[in-house]
Amino acid sequence: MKKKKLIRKIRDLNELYVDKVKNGPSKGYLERKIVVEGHQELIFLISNLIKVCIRTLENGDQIGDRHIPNPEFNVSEVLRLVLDLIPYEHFEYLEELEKLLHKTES
Amino acid sequence: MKKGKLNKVKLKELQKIFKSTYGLQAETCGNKKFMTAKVRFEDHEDYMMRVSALLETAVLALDGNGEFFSDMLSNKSKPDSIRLTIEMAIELLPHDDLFKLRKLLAIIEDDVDNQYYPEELKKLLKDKKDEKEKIN
Repeated sequence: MKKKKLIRKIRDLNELYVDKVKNGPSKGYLERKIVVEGHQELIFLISNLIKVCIRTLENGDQIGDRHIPNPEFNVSEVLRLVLDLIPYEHFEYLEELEKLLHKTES
Repeated sequence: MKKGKLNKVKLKELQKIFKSTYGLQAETCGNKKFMTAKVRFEDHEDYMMRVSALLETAVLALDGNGEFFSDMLSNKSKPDSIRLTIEMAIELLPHDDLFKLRKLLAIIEDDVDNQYYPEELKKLLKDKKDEKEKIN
């Protein structure tokens, strides 16, 4: 592949990536959308994060805490958030870029 | 002036606030409706560090000794992981949505003195009042 064509392809790919990851008013930042059913779910998510922090500070040994009756559930909700945060697009971009550069080498 | 017109304008203003681009945003995917919140990261390193902090906090919350099994993670500090997790909670706090709520309540409760009460509605209410005074 010619250099010029390659640069153009990389630029196209980059535009697509930037559109997916860095769009919106917060230019210069990486932005990630978190899917929730509504305002209530967002507040529950925040409280889950706080509960997991409390539990961690207490070394996870507080049993029968009124505020944290089901810590495993809180942890699983935080893990769900992590699932939403996994940067799939970044690695898709990385792979595509790798393929393009590999093609030019061969 | 008819009350119907006033209500129509009120409803329009309420919908305008709901459609504003700040706060949680409604999205549809096929038949399914959901909302999206946004979190921002400084760069890729910051991104990975924060995701990792969430996982570390989750691990430590489940472990009774507050330690990692893996030696590879022995350099991770509990306070740092917790701090980053709490920072994420702060980032997620729906400030914009409460601002939206304040604006919505101003209209619903007819709080004319509120700074967020729409000018158009204020004018309509004033006209209505003037009309009433004229009749009396």
